[in-house]
Amino acid sequence: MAFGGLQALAEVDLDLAPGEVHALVGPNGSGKTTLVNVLTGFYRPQKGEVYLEGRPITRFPPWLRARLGLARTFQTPQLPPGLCTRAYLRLVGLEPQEAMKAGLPSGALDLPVDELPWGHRRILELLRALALKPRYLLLDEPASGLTPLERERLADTVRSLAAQGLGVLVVEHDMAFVRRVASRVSVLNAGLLLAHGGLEVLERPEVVAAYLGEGYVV
Amino acid sequence: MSGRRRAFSLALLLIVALLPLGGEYWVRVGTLAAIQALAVLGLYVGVGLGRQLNAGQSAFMALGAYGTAYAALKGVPFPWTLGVGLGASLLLGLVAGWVALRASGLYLALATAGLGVILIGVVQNLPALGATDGLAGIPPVVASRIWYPLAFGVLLGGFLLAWGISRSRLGLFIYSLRNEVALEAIGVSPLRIKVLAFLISAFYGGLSGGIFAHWNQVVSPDAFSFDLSILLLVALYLGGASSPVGAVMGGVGLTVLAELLRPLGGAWTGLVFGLAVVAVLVLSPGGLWGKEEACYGRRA
Repeated sequence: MAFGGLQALAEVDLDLAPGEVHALVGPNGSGKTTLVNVLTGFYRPQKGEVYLEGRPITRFPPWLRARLGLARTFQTPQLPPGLCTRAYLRLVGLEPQEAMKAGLPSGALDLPVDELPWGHRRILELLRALALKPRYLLLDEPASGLTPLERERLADTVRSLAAQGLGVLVVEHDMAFVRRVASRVSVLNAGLLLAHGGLEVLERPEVVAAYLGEGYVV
Repeated sequence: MSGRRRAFSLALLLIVALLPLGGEYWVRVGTLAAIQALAVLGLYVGVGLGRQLNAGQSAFMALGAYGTAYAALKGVPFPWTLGVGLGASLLLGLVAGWVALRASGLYLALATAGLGVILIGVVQNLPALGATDGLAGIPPVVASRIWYPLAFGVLLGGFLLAWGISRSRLGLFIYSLRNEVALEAIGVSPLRIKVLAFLISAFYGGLSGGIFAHWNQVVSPDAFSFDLSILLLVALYLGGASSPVGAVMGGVGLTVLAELLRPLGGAWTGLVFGLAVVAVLVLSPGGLWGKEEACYGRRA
């Protein structure tokens, strides 16, 4: 995947299994979101293929991939501007009670979705993704902007979703969060896959160096 | 509804009720107002709700009118004539929807305006459609005194349909064209919704044109100029693009206002008309009947 002269992703191989939480980490600009965009169809790669349970979906538009069970959230929640939360829930096919149960206050129902506090927008996005009844869920920096308490709650949610058989890919900078939810890790650096494996790859010197710079001593 | 909006609505309803007292001329003005307001309702769904700028609504009216007129002159009985007009208009709706897949915002406005101008240009050069003279001798289908209540009856039906759409899940999908990524993410094709929005606009425009053809008994290219498209858009924003009430009020109000100003004569009419529009949009940016709600879809 390249933008003009910039090679954003090259030779990256990644697989996501049902029931696992797979963390995708790497410094800013390493290609994590680009990879999520390629997987969900928002970018079309110049080379390479995307398969969903063996079926090639590289040429499928994002909405069709979403319907086939590949749901995602965005770094910046994507919500229709000016729409009441109540109407947004109806749009995605959810009852207000389900949103309340997930932690949305009832006062949010009559506010525009794009003016809700960050944490509430994140809840809405997650609910929206889950309303598709997906088999795979791609979360792009779901913990950013959340309070420590909200992060904890999110980590529990992610783990229980995986326990129910959902394959979850988490793009995240918060290593404590990654350690809490993930069983497998892929590390991207400058568009290349630097390392992958269990949580222990996070300790490898080259991974630490990619994140913190050469010469950093832990 | 705020007091101001209630006063405006009352004044307008009063005008509509009193117009017939002014004689045959004002009955015709009122009928035309209802017909044009129907076309504005189509713009409400596409432009007001879906933000798909359409500067070619008069082209949908033209196809509805010409299709209906042509069918009527070939002996097709009413109301099947309207079906022919609607079919032609919906076909253009598909084309416009396809254009909307590639263009948005002002580019889409330019493209739809272009579609309208090209279409009228083609009609003007088609002998089968009467070229610049248009088609005359379209058989009247009802007595002339019936047209006024009939046109407002159809407008009421069109209003209820638009109101229903605005409160339905489809209406929420059309509203959400404001953020296409948000639609993709919930598994809905923005392209399909765009085409659907244009088909609904085309339906209203085509029906409006078809009724115009039977009522006026003459259709000619100059009745569906680019100016009319702009007038219909102005009517939408003047009335308030955020509700079907605004579309109806804007469509009826602007047609009547244009006639009231006609005695001033050409240039003055345009000047006063333009100033009135600017004044309304400065004083009440959401239009005269614009909603002042915090967010869309509280009761959807």
